[in-house]
Amino acid sequence: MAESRWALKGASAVLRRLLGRSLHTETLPLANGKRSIFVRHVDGGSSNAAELELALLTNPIYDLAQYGIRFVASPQGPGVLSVCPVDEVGVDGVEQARASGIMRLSQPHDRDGSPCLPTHHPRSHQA
Amino acid sequence: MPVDTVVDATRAELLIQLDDHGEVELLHWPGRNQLMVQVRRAEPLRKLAVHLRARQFHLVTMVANDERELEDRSFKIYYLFSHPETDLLLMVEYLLGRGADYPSLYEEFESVDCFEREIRDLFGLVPQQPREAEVKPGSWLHEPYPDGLFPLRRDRSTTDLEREVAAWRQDGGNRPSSASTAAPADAGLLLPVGPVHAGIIEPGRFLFTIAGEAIENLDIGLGYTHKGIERLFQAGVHLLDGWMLAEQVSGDSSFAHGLAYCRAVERLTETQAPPAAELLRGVFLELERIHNHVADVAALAEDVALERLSSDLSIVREELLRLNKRVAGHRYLRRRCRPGGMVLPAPFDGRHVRRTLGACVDRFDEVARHLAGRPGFRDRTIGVGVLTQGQARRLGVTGLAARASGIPRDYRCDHPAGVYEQAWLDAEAHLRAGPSREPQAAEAQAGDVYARFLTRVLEVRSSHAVIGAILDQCEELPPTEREHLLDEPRVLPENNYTVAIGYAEGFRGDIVYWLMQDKLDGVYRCKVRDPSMLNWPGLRQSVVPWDPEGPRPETVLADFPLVNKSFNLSYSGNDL
Repeated sequence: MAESRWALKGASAVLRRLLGRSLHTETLPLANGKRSIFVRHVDGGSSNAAELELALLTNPIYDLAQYGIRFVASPQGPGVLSVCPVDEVGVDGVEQARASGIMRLSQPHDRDGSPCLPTHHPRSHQA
Repeated sequence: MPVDTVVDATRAELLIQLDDHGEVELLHWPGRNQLMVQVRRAEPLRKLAVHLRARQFHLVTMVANDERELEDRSFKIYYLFSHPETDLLLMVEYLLGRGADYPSLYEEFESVDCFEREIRDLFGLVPQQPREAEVKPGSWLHEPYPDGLFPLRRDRSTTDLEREVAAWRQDGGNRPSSASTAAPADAGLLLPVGPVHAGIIEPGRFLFTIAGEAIENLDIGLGYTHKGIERLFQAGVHLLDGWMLAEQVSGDSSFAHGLAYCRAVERLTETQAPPAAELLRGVFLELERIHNHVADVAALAEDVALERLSSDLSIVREELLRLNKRVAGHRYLRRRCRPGGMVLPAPFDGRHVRRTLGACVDRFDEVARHLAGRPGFRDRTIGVGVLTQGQARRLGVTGLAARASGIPRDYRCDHPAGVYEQAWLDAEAHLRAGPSREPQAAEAQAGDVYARFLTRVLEVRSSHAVIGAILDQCEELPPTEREHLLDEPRVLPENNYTVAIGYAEGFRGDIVYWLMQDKLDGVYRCKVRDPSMLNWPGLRQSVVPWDPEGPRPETVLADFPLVNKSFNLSYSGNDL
């Protein structure tokens, strides 16, 4: 699992930069085996090999869920944000995405930006 | 008639045609199957393009190069065309002279579109009217990068570029991707997805225009994983070390990228890999194809909620990656291919490959057969996300996506190199004739999600057969040759500023490297062309309900993830 080890190392470096704390404090709850941890992964410009390896951690062989670790889709409330790789533009991009709310789940909207659901659109009843 | 005569006749005819125009100058033959010509004015270039289109050539790549400090004192655009029937690669060199614009070949080859946008952002060169307005800035470099950066121009150092980007970021500069502003004004409902996605995948922005459930339009915004790989290549990378960078372009086809780079270097250094190394390259290339195809089929199964089958396949995939680790020392086959041959950490264990692979492919086949027969799976995939043969040809789609639309485009057969050359292995017999004898051959060319699924299944089978054939040959080699894997090449000063092409058929399609050596044994320019670059427009076409010929069946939004996974294109390989 060279790739994912590397990815986790990278993630810890980014966390230090983003949160001003080290990854160890973040993973403490895991070590006592009583609490689970949610991970949100963001690609900051990798070659995709790290993503493939992280995705493989959920397969029946490694089954990361048995340790209480889950990759989640929503950025709202995960304990760990994993990012790879670590480079200036990538980290900036992630920080920017966090600040501008791109990482909030996208919502359908009208031309003027007011949110609406697909089924509420007048043309959805034509078909 | 022997094949060589046909090939020679086509070449002779092409040369006569070129001669007729008077202004097309033959430069040289860089290799057995390559031809290089030079054009200095727009008019003959257009004429040549019309002629090539009529002769069924297709565009492989388009490269801009800043040669203002070299002999011709000008920017140059290189077009690379392929003629599969005669195994001919034609490179056309166009000199821009003093201006910063060039004629667009969009009318003849629609696939120039993505290259023109890339060249607009990286070089600041714009095609002439009427295309000028359509090639907007901001499709490759946006957000953290200011307009007018043009990072591949050689008159600015890396420090200059870094300073410029930092200053722009300091001022709060943020330039949206041109795709996010591309929706027509009368569009009803917009659904932006990304660039940061929900899963563990790469970033890219999809902007859907939807009417109820149906997709009306889709704009794909890429460039979010831009890393400046081509700039890094020319920042002092030694010609013989560039494979390290090439392997990082797209993580899942590391080996194919490395191999394509190595082939280009071997052409520049005029070396040849030893026979045992060529055989191993074939084995590794097919191993990479098999594990990726297994992963893609698993992803499709997961998307139609067949978790159990998907889990079965992900176990098969893990075993294939462990096989890679055992025979190559790396799960993604990195660091094995070098210019001049291969490097292995331990003697190659062919018997282990045969045994493990046999078991894995059998299990994959069983699951795939089960999937193909399930009414639920067929319902979700047949007739969904159709890319017709005509559309695929028009857009210049390549690789697996083209094959699933009925275009027999495969560089292992079209431009065979290394182990696929006839003396080693009759690639045609294994790769084209083999699958076409399968009972589902027609279904595998329909251009829908099911066809791409089936093409992957058939290719896993044919790759397995190819590996078997290569391993047979490995065993026939005398032991002394079997151990001999690397002939260290030497950089040749007489090839300074010479261009070489290297290619390999990865699991998505043909990966092409365009490489120019400089006088300090480094890389002057390296253009990487991942098949994804040509195939992204194909993905878009397969879900939008119209093409230039008229309306097409609609795709519902809920099917998009399935269509997307059936293509499985690389973001990293596209954004570079």
